[in-house]
Amino acid sequence: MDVQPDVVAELYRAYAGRVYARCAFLLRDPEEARDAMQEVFIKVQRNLDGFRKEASPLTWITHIATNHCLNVLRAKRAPWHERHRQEVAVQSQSAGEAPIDLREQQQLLRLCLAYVATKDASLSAIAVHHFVDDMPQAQLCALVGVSAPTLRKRLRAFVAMSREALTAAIPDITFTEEAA
Amino acid sequence: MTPTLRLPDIAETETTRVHRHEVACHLAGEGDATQRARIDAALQQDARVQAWRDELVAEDRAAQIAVPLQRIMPQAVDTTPWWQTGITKWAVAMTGVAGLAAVLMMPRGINDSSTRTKGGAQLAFVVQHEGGARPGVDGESLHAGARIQLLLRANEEQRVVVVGIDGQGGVDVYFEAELSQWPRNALQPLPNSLVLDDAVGDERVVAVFGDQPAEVLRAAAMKAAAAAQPGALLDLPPGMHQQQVRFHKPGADVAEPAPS
Repeated sequence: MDVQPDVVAELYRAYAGRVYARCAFLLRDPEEARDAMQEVFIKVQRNLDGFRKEASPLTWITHIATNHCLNVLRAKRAPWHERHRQEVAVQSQSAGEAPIDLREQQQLLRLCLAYVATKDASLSAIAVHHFVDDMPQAQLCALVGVSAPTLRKRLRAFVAMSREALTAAIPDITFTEEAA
Repeated sequence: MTPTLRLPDIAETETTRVHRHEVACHLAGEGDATQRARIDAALQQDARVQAWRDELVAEDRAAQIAVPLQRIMPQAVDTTPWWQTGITKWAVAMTGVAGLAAVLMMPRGINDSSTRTKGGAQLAFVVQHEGGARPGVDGESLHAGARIQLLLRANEEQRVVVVGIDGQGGVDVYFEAELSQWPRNALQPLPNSLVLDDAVGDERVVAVFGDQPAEVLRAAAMKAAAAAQPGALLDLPPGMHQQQVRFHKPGADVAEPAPS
């Protein structure tokens, strides 16, 4: 690997925040997040040619970080999933009357992402980009190579699987659909 | 209480609103002029977009603290070359990496006490030390050998000239650039960092911004710096404005404050 130090420093300057935030959000363990960030940057350095061709390097590096973390989670899914289930169960005890928004509840969203990652990692990655990154649909379509209708179909599949995950974690949970 | 969860609707059509990811791309310096103008406008007007920017900047800070550049690239940081210039009483070093490492350790809101005279443009600095870096405070005491990384945030200006004025009134140009490609929303390190020499007294670095041709801006900045009165802003022609940071270099028997 022959990467100039200033190139790595520039990558770090521009993207460290996003990569670490992704790793910390999905992995939740500070040391694991640090290790993951290191590995993501190594991957980026190994693929610099591809990186430079990207219209949005941030989108590309975020995707690498997301996939890396989801793979880490899949490799140790049992303790991870159980931990989230317990946290979500505790959290649900203090829920008020107002409906809570999946997008606003990181614990719930993480549980769903983890659950879906064990079954379909690429779907979980799409959901991360949509719900966490708030990536425009057109950009997300280009990133994962699907059409807009297919993307929406995939996201609806994620929502359906999330219902399963949440029902398993919080048996008395009810759902309401967001107004279109 | 039975929790009720509102599941998201997956919209058939997407609005033209600014997305959080677009703000992140913007902060990373991505996007063409049109896109950047669109995000800039949203950053001016939309509180939600401003909040995203603040979150993203906070995430940057967290990353810089949690995973210093050294952890990504341990060898490079220690091998950055340094050398002296003969013209000024500063040593100027091409940091590339070390400077960036220091900059990336800085907290948000750095050096808010530096003199600011217009809009979002800002000049600030961090002080590098063995363990990393700390934010510089305008007017603070620094000893000979202290390494300073200057940071610049541009606003709508087209050009900048950064000049140093030493304790004896000597003036030198440290940096000048077109700002069309300079990121607008975050402090960015200048390509060179500085090592203070052993001269004592009050020194300052002034960034002079303007839309004038480069040679005009440089000449005006040099002239105003040479005529500068201690403690006073530079007397610049209309259409130019300035930011400055100041240091006090005490004698060797005065201890430098410990890094925070």
